[in-house]
Amino acid sequence: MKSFIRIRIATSVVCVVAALSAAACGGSSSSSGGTAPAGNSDKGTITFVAADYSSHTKSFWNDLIKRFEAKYPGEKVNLNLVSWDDIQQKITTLVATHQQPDILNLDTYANFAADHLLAPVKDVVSPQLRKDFLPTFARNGVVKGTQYGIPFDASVRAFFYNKAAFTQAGIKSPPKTWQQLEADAQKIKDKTSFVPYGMDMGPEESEAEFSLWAMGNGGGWVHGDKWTIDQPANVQALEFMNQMAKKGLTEPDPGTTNQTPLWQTFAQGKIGMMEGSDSLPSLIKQYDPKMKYGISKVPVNAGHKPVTLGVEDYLMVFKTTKHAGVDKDFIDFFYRPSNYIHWVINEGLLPTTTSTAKVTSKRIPSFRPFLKLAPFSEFYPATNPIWGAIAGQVKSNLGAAFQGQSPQSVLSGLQAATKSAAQRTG
Amino acid sequence: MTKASEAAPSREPLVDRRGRVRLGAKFTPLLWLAPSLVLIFAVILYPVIEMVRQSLSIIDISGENIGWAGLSNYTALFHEQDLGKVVSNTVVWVVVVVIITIVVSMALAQLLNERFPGRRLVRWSLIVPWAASLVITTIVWLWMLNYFYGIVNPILKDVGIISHPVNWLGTPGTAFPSEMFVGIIVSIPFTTYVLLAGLQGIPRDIYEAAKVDGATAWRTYRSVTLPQLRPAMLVAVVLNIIYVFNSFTIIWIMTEGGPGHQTDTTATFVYKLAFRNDNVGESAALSVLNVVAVLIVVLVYVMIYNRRNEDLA
Repeated sequence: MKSFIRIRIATSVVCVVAALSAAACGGSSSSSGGTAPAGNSDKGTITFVAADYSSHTKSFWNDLIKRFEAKYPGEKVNLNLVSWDDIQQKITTLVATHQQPDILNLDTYANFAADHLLAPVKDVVSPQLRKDFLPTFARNGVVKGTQYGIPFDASVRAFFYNKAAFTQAGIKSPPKTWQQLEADAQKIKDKTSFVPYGMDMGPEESEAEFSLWAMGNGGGWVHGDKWTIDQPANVQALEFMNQMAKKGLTEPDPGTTNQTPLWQTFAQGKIGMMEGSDSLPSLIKQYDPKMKYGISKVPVNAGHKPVTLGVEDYLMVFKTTKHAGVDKDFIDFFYRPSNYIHWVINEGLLPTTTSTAKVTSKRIPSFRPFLKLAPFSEFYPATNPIWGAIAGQVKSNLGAAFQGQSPQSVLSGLQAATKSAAQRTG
Repeated sequence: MTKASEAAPSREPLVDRRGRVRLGAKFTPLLWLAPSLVLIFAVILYPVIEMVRQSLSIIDISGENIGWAGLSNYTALFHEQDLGKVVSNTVVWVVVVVIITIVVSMALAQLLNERFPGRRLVRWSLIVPWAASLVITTIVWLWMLNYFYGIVNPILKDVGIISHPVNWLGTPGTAFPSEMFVGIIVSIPFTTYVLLAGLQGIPRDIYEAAKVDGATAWRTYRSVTLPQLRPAMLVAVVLNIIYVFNSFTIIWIMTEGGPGHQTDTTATFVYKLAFRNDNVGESAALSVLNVVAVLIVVLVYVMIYNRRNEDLA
């Protein structure tokens, strides 16, 4: 515990140093030509720090870089692959010691953008590619009107149902609204031995399940910079979930059910309906390859727009880069559908460009439902500095709404927590 | 004793001719003790000082110490609406787990002190749960108690104790007792061995004397075994209070103190304050109070125990 705190203190010190250096960089960059005009005649070596996603990651990048360097003579990419556990610390150190790479791949970018360390996307990405990004994902890369984050890949949630359960219960098509969901759950309860609807509100990742319900009722975590955890739409969503549990339409005690065991139970064919992500199909394959299941849009409260929860990773270019032309060539090369599709297949994550999404949908049928859902994604307020502290308390407390405490008081408590957390921002 | 005083003249005298303690002699022991003193300071005292310091500081959300807080962390802690539940949980947790552990261990120690075929095997097998990692033991119980695929429900159903499956870890009403059960299971081996050692230390001739005096088995137990077992019992109870009070693993793995704070003790609440709420200052404040509480409980127990001992003597 102690060492953990010390690491955090060390990291925040580094952050301060980074912020100071950012100001310094900002002053000099205009003269040193950080955002030099692009041109294919520009030659040089760029550094690319990337996250290690899986056992396929290293060979993918090595192969891509080899082909890139063959196609663009004189342009070189120096790859630095870092595990997810270490990458945050690594990049903080690099920035603090003025050794930031040219291109970085990470799940956050907003802190660097806020510190004026990044080059705007329009300077480092060709206009054709910029138009190619799916708007949902491109929007998340924007800070104060300027896009800094280049959408790298994504994952979204969807509604899963067990086809055997639907057949036995006589359900023809998956529910689109909460009301249909409740009716279908009742049918599954009456006619089958399946758990009607699997709801994970235990501490593991209750913020995901709740986000889906809240967003499906027009609610959410924030409105602009303001926290709106106890807004009426959210309270109503939590009350509806609670009623589902009380009527026995979920597994017993969803307030203490965690995601991992629930997904495993779904993969064993014991649950009728559930929300899952694009990584669930591989889990099902592992447990019961013969299981027949369907994927559709997450049901929303009648009258609301379809919505789902998305998670996104980014590429970003630091404005200290000396070879903006090489950066541009390399980024464009990566996003060519013939290259990008291999990333998508290897890592099982969704593409962020329209062109590759088309190819993916043609070549990998299991991705189709998720690609269709991608435009409906909404995201956690992960760019808000206190989201970490709030997410922690959400994990601890949401489940209490299923054990006697009223949804209103649980959400009001969390809303109050945002105030005390905001007081502790340095 | 006599041997030591005989040997003394051959050693370097600690006192010089004028009767003053030699300077070197005064510091020599310190030299030998230095490594352990440094170690104690580094791994025990320094963290305690740091904990107290943090409890009096404003620690921001990213863990940076940004100034003096006075007692504001403590007042914020007392305003936590869940603190009452957490404290009462802690009291129940310690009292129930320690008392049942001691009673069961006493019976087991008594059994293992008797001669019976296979005694060695039974004694050895009792070590297994103690030697196994607490995390592994707890995860095994977590799986056994699982509503969907755990083995506890089918067994209890087959035996006829329950008619339909119970979600043991689903509601505080069954989750907290389940955690206490695991807490007791993992505390029993150590306690049993302490008490068994105590039983084996009781001289046989006292029992023979009791027999000669015509004491019944119950009378012998009450007047010979229990009083003779006092030192071992003191060790067993004090160590158990400290272990159980600070027990984190079982509750964290089985329920994470949830739902809400229904199964939190102060040990898990400290963790949540620091790493879920990113509120290190308040967490440090509760840690300080935790240490004080354990010290008071143990001191009171030892005092009562000693007074009763004197009364008996």
